Amino acid sequence: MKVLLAEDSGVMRKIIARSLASLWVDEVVEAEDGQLALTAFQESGPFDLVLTDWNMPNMNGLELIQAIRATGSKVPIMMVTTEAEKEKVLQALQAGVNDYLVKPFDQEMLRMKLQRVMPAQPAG
Amino acid sequence: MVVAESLEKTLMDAFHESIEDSFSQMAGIEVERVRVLALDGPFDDTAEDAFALTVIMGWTGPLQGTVAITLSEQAALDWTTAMLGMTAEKIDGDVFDAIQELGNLVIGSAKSRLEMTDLAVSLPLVLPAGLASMGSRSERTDLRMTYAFNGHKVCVFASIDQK
Repeated sequence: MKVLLAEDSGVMRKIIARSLASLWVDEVVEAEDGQLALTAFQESGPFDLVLTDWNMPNMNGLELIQAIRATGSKVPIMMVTTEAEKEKVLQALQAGVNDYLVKPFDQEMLRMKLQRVMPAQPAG
Repeated sequence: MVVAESLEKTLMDAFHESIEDSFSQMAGIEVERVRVLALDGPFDDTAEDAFALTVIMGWTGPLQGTVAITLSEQAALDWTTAMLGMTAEKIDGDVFDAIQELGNLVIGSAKSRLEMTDLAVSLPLVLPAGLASMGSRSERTDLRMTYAFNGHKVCVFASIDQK
């Protein structure tokens, strides 16, 4: 399984990548902003899951989701962000996000959300 | 304009909840609120511990101003160690990243708790300096909240005006 992780915080990328490694993920492609993530999505795909922050330089997470959905991709996308207002969550859902995790979160919550949004674990 | 009393309490509550949640959920650290002050002028920090790192974020929209969180070197190392699950022994890029994320978590989360449409925060800036050694000290600090964990102090400063 291959995951694209768009997050400008190096520490947060490490925390999320660590949780992904403990699940059934083979490869995590990390991007420091939305523009780099979109390039990776187009050039290094296909991906089984996209995780994205909202507030990032160059292209934010909402714009990234919109750009990915504009390609016709149905890849599962989860937003991981401090933006907790109802309007923001609705904006993300309208853009095509599959799940939403508000920071700060504990590791168990992150793992549960990942398991819920990730495609089923391959048999065997 | 200094923030109104009701807004002042709203801001204090939002920051209090967000700093408790951020330390507890991301790092398993319970912080203790030591002191809360509402000030009309720059504070005298000579009696405080030496602060080493400061993360600053700006707010725009219905509230405008700047929020800063400043930590001692050991507090920054302890936060990084707890958050990453690996020992941080010196101030390096990981520690800067961890303090930047602390700003994102505490200040961004406090902003969300205020539920104000169009209130936006800037990307964080981390400076290797405490307030005592920064040349451009704020002329006014409206709120100052001091927390402690592991014997170290973390301070949240907010200078916010209502538009």
